[in-house]
Amino acid sequence: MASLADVYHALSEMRAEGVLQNYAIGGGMAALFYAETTRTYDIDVFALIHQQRLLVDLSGIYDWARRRGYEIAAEHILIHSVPVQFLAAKAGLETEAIERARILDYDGAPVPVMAPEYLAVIYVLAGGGKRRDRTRSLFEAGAVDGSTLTAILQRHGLAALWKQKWGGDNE
Amino acid sequence: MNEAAKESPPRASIEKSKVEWHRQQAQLPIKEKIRILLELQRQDLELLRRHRALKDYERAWDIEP
Repeated sequence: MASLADVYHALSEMRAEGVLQNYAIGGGMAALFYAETTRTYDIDVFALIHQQRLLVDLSGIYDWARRRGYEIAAEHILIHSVPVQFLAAKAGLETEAIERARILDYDGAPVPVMAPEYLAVIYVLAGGGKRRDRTRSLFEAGAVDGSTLTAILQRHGLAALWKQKWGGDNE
Repeated sequence: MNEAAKESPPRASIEKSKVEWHRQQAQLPIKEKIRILLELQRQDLELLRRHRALKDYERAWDIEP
């Protein structure tokens, strides 16, 4: 039976083969690297994806999946049964989160994971109770560095929006 | 104060224990967290299915941690 490390190895191969320029794990799976376990059913891969004018071109990813024999289910590709969703990173915050991702180890597989401060901002701005809980978990785990978070918010002009949406202390 | 209140631990102590438990859970090795996640998926999906239609991607992962 395949393991989660096999999924991460497959993502590394996508990058090595040039299917993805660069990527980082975000969403609920990323939070698991820093905080306690919460339910998630897919892996969100934020990626720098080739763009033709205004359209994000995901065809290379789907072609790669077909060549590998991975099932495509709506917006997800099932890599060793694990639903993986590829999201084109927006310029600014998400792109920077990819560029500054931490390369963590999962059972011998290198995994680029968004840093907790970026995850917190992306969760809160996206909204929703589940993401708010994940943000709280990151803070409770002591994973979020306050000065790093403040610098990110200031750099992207998001301090007021963060205060409005999060409200709580950054600790 | 009734007898039950006298015997139960102070609320602050319970809160402190909960915070400590959550912190310990956060510090588990990532592979152990994934083992817990796979177990949660198996338990949770049946309950979810009783309440609403599952989304395409809501399925238990058929992998080892």
